[in-house]
Amino acid sequence: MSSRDLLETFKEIRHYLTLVPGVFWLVLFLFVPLAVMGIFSFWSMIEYELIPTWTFENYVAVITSRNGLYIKLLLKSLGMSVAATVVSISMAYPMAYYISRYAGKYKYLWINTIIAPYMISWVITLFGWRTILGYGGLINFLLMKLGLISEPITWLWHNWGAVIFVLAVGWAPWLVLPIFVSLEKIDESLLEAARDLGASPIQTFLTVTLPLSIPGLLLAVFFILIPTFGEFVAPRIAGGTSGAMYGMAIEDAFTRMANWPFASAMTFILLAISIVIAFVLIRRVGLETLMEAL
Amino acid sequence: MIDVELVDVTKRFGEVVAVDHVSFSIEKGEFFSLLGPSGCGKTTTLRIIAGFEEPDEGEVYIKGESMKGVPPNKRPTNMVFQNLALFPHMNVYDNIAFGLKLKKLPKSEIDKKVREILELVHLPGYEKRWIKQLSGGEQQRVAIARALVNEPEVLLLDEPLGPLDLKLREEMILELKRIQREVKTTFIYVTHDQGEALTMSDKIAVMNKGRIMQIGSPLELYERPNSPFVADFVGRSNLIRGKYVDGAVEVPGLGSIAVRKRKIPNNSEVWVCIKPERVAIGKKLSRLDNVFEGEIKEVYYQGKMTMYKVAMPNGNVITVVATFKDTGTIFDYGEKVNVGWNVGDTWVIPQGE
Repeated sequence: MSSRDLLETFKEIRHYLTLVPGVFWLVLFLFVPLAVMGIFSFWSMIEYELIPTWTFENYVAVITSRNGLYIKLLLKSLGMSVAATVVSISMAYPMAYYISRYAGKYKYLWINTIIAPYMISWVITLFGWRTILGYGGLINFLLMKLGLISEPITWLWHNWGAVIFVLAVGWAPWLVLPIFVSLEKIDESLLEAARDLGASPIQTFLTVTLPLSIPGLLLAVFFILIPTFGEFVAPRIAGGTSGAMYGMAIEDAFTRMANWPFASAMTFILLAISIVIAFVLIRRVGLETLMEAL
Repeated sequence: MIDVELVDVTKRFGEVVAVDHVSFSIEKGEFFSLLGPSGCGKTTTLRIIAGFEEPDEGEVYIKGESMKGVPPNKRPTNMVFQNLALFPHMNVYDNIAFGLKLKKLPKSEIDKKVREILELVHLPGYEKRWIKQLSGGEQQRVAIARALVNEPEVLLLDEPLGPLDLKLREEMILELKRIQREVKTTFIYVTHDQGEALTMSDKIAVMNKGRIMQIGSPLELYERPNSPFVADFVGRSNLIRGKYVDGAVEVPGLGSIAVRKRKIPNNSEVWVCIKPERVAIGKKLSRLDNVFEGEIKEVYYQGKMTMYKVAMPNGNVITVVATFKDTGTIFDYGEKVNVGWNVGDTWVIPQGE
């Protein structure tokens, strides 16, 4: 190998060297814990002791135990996170659209204001909602004061609807960001061209604005669907019995049942489905388009 | 028949008067250009006609109908945008069919129209291509096709040749003119390039600082400009200041220039305008109505022609553009030469007009 070739090879290697710090953190804080969990999921727990047995029992147990309760819970969680996604995007899109089109020079002030709630912990936000929607909450208090109801209404809190609501509202500000960015990227002249060719404002939105904001929309779906699928805080605080989610069951298995192999198997089933969803989404739009929306 | 008419149109953006009492009328089937430097209000004028801007004062009429309050999608105009504004998420067919689909034409008719218009712009069979896959010139043609397929009363073109390289631009200029001849639609073309405007237009309106300076055929603007601005903007001109006296202009320090007669009061201040390519240059010139001596200050050899800057005794600098055939040689810096021109090559512009 000539010195010149050597130099070229070195340059090529140096190119990859830049990846090292990032990969290092990923390995240390994501892959190592996951690998440990993955190994646990094939072990057994007998009398609170981990036994390295290499068995599929845990996975079988998750699927079959309690008449498939866990699988039903898993599907229900997916349904709830899909519902939260739909509701959240239908709140975030108009916000993003308004800011992009009408906020003018205050655009970035708006964006910063919208993200401000994230300075507060998610748990505190949830308790905040309880003081509004809960049994002795603000809404019930006002309705009683006004004499519209004689005793507090209970369907505002502690059910699946409340979970979907808090998830949707909680995530909506985040979703504004990718949608806003993809709307900002649409050249004003494209909208003018559509108008010029005979489209009404609504037709212009449907034929040009909406299709061109799809990368942002899908990125928003990414943002909310995958994390809410495994959510366990919101259903614990707002869910009651009807709003229970799979994430709660995982937490339960880890803590109350203290069955780590079983909990790990549950986690890996969730992870596998999440990866499939992510994969389908990426295939559908292409990673590049998705990254463009960032 | 008048197709488009602007009456006293004014548009302000805050303190800035973008369009200042502009009036003109365009005949049906005319190729009309709005020519001027950037920021002169030509694009704003076009956008007012398209309906993207409402004028603060004045009215726009298309086919005799007032366009007041009529949104762009209800106007009989279509526009070719400066950046083309082709829809990136659609292929060529869907781009061109966009307007036709909104009109709810039957599919077979849309197919036929798209096919025909693609033939007109010399892109047959391009229906399935994506915009990204097209070259700059091809995108240009698709943009023109997308606008023209709607058979607008007026086609508006906002400097669409700007991003093209010189060679492609020259090609597209001829293409545009051919297309316009074939479809016989009224074209309103905005440009800062006097060459484009002169080549294509039936009529040109020269604009500056929101105002129309002069409207006329390319020949009129080139030969008989009404102001130093137009004289210089359309084809560059030598402008010499002096006093008009009976068919001649007295220039202090230079002498008398014999000029074409105009009805101008004697002793009024005027500009004499002479185009660089009408000025003869040589060691010893004779048989010309005006001959002066000068010294060559600058020489720019450009291949098919050479541009000289010649300093006159009074300090005026005359620009001369001459071919090798004219001079038989290339003159050098510092050479003493004669410059001269005939009465017929001069044009007098009264000052203050």
